[in-house]
Amino acid sequence: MTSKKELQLAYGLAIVLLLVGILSYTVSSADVPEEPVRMMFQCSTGKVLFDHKTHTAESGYGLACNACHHHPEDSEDSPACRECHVLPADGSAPQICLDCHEADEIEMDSMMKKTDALHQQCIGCHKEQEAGPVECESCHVKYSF
Amino acid sequence: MLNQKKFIVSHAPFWHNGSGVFERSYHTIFAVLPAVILGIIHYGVAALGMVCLAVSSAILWELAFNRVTKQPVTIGDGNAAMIGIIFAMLMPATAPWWAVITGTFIAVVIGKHIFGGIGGNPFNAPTVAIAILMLSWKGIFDFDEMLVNYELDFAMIYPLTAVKNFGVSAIDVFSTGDLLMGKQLGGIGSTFGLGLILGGLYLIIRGFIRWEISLSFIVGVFITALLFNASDPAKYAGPMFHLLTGYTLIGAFFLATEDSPSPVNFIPMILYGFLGGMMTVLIRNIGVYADGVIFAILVINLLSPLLDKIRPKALGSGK
Repeated sequence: MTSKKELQLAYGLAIVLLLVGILSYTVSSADVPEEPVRMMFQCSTGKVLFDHKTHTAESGYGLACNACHHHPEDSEDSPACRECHVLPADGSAPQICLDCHEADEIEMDSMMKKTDALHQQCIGCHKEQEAGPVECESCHVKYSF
Repeated sequence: MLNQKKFIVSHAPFWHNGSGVFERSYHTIFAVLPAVILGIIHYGVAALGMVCLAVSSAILWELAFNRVTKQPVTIGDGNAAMIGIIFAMLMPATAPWWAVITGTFIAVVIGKHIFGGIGGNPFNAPTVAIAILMLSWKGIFDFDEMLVNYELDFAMIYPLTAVKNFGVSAIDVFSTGDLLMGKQLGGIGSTFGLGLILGGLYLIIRGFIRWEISLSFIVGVFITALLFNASDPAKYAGPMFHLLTGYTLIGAFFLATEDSPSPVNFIPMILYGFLGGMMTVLIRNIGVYADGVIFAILVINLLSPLLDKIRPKALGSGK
């Protein structure tokens, strides 16, 4: 039989831990770094874990932001790949292009889709530097959990 | 000769040694604290929030079930809190709040209470919850993805997906000592091997869990992994890696050992644990999941009544 003290302990735990839990979730939900540490690309051929920090940190490869986030070249902002390379289904230009360019200035045929852009960016650089994976199964995982 | 007394039992009331469900629950919570604390040190406020929410929601689900079914309130025995903390140990630190609350509901209500509560559950309650969450929202258990924003002083890749996808060369970055000290990605309370072993030994010494199950589970993992490793050392990791990664140790000491869904006699316990360990490595090495502990434990839980058929011969039965 449950004693009164045991019940009081359970009620106390439930209330105190609920409050701490809600508070912690509220605090930690805002705790996302400004610059990504690692990124998980969702791909139909298997997810790809990309170590962003290793590529950018001085102790890693020390790449400048615009080495990958290449357009516009003189911008301090680093737009995410998807902002330019996820092309609208209706054939129009992505909104980020239209922020600076007129629609008739943009040659949509030359705009790479995100998959092609990332493959060219990653594999191209790895081949050029003779470092890093170039085979499909070296990045894309078959089993994710 | 006919009047010889063979077995004498005194009549009730019997003396009670004071140990009950309450002691068992809180001693288990005490035993898992080192592993949980290391998880909170690694993952900070997010892990703290997850553990707190899991324990409190597990208690509140049990209270709600007691009220709805008009049964006596059982939260005082601490079993719901224990389910909550073990469930939290298996989750990634950044698991969304709704997954935690859904998980504790599954564990407490579906895993335990609809079978009649403590002693009636055919499966370990936190294991049922994790299995259902895994199958429903598999992204939650992709530790590589869930923990992308953390940077700690060890290789930030989940060892089991690394070896399954990229082979043994991908896990050269993990030393046995590092794995033992929890320097690996995983559930917040399931990576600190040393803490889990000490916690498990504490429960064994206090008599709350059976050493036969834990040891045979570990031996099952070790032998099966050793055979796989011997067959193809470039593809299959060695036994120490399998022992110290994923849910192996928490499974061996805290999931497989629950009384209700495990056998009671020596040989059944040994078979139960060994099969669980063997199944774990089979799923990891030739199945589609990176970790096999959860499904392996559900399978051995299912086998438990069958294993209990192996009984010692009754004294004097003559057969």
